[in-house]
Amino acid sequence: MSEGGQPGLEALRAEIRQLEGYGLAEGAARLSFGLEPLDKLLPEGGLPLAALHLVEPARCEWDDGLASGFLLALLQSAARSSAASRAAQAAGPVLWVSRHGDLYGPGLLPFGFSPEGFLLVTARNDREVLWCLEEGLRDAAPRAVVGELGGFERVAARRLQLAAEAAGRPCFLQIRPFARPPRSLPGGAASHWRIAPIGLEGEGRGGLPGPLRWQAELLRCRGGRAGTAFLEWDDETRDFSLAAPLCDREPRSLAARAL
Amino acid sequence: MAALNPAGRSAGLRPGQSLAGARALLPSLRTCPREPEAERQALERLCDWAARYSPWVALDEGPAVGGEAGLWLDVTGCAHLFGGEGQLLEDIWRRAAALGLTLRIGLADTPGAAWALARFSQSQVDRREEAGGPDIFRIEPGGQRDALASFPVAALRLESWQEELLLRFGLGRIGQLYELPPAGLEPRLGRGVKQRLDQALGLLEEPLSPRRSLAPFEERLVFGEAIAATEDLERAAERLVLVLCRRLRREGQGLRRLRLTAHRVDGSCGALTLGVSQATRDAGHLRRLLAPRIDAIDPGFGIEVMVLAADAAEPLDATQMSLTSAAAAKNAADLIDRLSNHLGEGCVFRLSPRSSHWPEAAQERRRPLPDAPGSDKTAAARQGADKQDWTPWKSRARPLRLLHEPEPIEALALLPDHPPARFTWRRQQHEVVRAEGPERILPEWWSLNRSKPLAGRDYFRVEDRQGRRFWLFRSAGRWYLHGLFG
Repeated sequence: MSEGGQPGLEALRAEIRQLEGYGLAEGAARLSFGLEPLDKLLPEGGLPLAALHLVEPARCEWDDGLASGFLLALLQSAARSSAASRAAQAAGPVLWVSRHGDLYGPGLLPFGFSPEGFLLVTARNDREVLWCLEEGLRDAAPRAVVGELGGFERVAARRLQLAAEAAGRPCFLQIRPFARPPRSLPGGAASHWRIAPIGLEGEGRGGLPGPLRWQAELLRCRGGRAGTAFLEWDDETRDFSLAAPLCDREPRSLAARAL
Repeated sequence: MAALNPAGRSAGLRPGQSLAGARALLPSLRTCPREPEAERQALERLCDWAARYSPWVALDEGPAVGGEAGLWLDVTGCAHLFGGEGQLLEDIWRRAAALGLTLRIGLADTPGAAWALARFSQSQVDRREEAGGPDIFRIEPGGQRDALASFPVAALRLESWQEELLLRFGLGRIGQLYELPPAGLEPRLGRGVKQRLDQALGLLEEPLSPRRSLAPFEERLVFGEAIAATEDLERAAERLVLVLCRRLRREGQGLRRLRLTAHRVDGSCGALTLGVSQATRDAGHLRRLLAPRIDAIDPGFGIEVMVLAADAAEPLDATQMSLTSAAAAKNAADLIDRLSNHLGEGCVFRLSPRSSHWPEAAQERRRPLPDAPGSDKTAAARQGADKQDWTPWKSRARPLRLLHEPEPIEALALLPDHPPARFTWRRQQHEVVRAEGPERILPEWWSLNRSKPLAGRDYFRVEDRQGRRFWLFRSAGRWYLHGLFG
């Protein structure tokens, strides 16, 4: 089916997206990475901002820092992309609801954030986290809300998604289980990322730790496709780039390593 | 023996008697040991109960005549809420009787006269309003001098030795003291007697200190019939908030803490408090904060009086008000209030830097909103002096997640001062392939006040074979993991 031949089809698709929500409507704010391998996975070449995004560490406990890092990098990119159009809103704080309360201020600096711009909340359980996130989205002040929680139900995800859409601001969830890792996470989010580290190949060792790098696996993306991207964070430009030596690697070797 | 019931009194016993003597007079006497602490607690509960009539309630700390306890109520300006002083007194008496208490109530211009009236009226010129009715005694305004003249001097709240001395002088009635020159009394009795006399007569002010600090703004609502339904409570709270906010606006004040007290039918109280991060008199905002918490008040058998008090208030200009909505949106005051009232104080915070190299001390949690300018000078000055920013940390590698406590790990380093070659954290072995360090951080001997001195730490930033990054340190020959990088 060629799209060129059916001009009505595109309009129909746009209408469906409008109805579906998930921040995919025409003219909604998007986050485009400017990296071809990643952008081609995303709907219309950009991550919808007025939506719920889920970030999950590949291994809980060990990759918690990694997942938070990726989340902050996303947040920074989102803040920059929306700063021009909505400067006033970008001045608001980021609401960060956590059960652990172990976010370390100086560690936020490489991501281009001032820790004072974060409004931190310590919640006692997942229900409270979800309540705080919804309150945060309903309030006009925060420019984005971030929650750390052990798991959630589909209904909760849907509620947050609707709240984020209504607010026109992003909501990020990081999975950080307190007791045991969740079996499987329900859908309902606009995107679902699994973050794993990028290791050093072969037997080599030595040298200093380089820039921050993530193997970001897009498990689910509404309106887009699943796929994996190897990303690197530049402290200076505060931008994503492709992790250089690995971006052209064969999927086969990846699979072999995973085994 | 501390206290007696009417039957005991009629049998000729009196307080202060020894138990043996009392038993000799009345073999069937039943006694129980006195519990001063429990008595005091009961009295304080009664004090809270009495707050329904007036915000100004105090325990009577003076000499307890006959072991009876007393409460002071300053009902200035409160009587009209109950339909006049007479009705107010009767209401107090009736409700206390329902609680099983026998009250004697005296109402006068001065605390001293009221005290005397409540305790010594019966045998004196009775001002009882009706025979057999409640024990309520009143002196008309300005009538203390005549009314008290026939009272015994004990009614002046004197020390026992003063009273004894006066009796020895033959001065048994208060009226006899009126004519005496003060110069004659003072050398023998000290200033106490004259002072008490003047206080009772209203020549000398006598300040009472209320048990609870007085709220600068308070509104109360008395229900004709006890209410219990949540909707009714909400409506009542709403109305109180409106009235309170109107008053705050008139006075140019904003509140920081709000206390809602509900007096139940059975004499107990339920209370809830909430705080706001910025002085406010926005009725809508306060109502939104109150509404979800109103359930926390257990109405019991019904609530008769609701009191809404602004415990802390500070000046808030009208000009400031017009800006507040814009400012509130910017600094999220509304959101902060909602979250911190739901989760509890201290759960909502921001991080601010501290000038310390010690990783745990490099940041501190502070209140999410700065204090209003001028409200707390010392805090502002302290903040100014402590003004720090995060720039020193920009050049240093610091983890994104700092564990609350460094966790001991098993690590193997090939050489001293080298990063570990491998380590085990949470049952997982990590092979270190890249490392940066050591960065030596010494404890602050001048500020950390601990019983056992902390050892210095050599920090390493390491990356394992899989690419995860950790912040490790070695201290006193042992290895710890302290943080995770992004």
